[in-house]
Amino acid sequence: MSFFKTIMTLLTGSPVDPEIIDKKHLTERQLIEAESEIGRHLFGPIPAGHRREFFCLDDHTWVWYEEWQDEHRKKQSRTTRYEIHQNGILKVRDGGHYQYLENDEMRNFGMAVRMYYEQVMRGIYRRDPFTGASLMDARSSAPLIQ
Amino acid sequence: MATKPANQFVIPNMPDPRQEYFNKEFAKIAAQNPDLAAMGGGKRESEIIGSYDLQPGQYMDLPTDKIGMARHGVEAILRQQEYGKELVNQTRPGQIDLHNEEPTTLFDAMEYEEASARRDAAREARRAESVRASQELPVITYKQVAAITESLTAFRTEAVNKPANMKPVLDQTEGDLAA
Repeated sequence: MSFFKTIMTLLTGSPVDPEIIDKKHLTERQLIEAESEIGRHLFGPIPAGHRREFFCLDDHTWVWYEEWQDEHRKKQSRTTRYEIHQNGILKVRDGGHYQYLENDEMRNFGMAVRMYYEQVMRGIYRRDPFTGASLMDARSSAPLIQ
Repeated sequence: MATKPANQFVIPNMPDPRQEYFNKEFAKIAAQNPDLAAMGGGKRESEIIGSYDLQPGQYMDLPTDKIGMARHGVEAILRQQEYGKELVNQTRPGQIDLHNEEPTTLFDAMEYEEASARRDAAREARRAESVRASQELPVITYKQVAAITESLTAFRTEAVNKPANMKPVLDQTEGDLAA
């Protein structure tokens, strides 16, 4: 089971069997995995020995997962969930730490979400992030040969 | 021709009939005097002024470095025209209003220079503000985050439920994943 599928299993409670994936269309998890390829690079270079995932899990949850080895070569990990509530973004960390995002952290998170959205819309769904129009249609309608 | 002042040479829409006369004759004077060199102005100034069809209440998009030239051209023209002289003699401060700043008289060079300096300072302040604003990260509220998230998941759901609509996307994404 891949690293990403491990995370998804931990978060959602059900494993993904690659054998049952319909090759003619991607599942939601595969799309999330593709999105996270973009999301993990939004925050700059990933430190050596670290693995990072950042993705939108559903319409009210974002996930940051970071894994690394400590000085004793013991694997450490941290999962942070950002939950969208009626009155703000609640940051939930391992061990039951809850905190609403404020100030710089809220601004940084908002920027990350917007960058994620713009890059995913263009890179994964081939949509204009501002209009939702298909970029594939625009490309296909343009004359290929003048 | 712009409709609002910003770094422009402004001909204000004033009810004063002298101002209307001034505006009406402004371009005509320049057009009829292509060579102002012997009149204390210059051909370039005349060309600059004459290239604009001035109407009361309208604003010209003049390059910043041309504003002064245009002004001097006007002054030169008016100095050399009898009716211009009369007009100038009747003209009061504020009839040519640079950037809606303090009124200036036509022939008060010192006041003009001060206005020019204020204009340059204001332009520099605007430029600095623009640079600062562009360097600042925009504030995104949690409501905007919610809207973005909702939109994103909607497209994702469409990709899952209506693969036919997303086939070109899915083909490529699937290829990316396979790679």
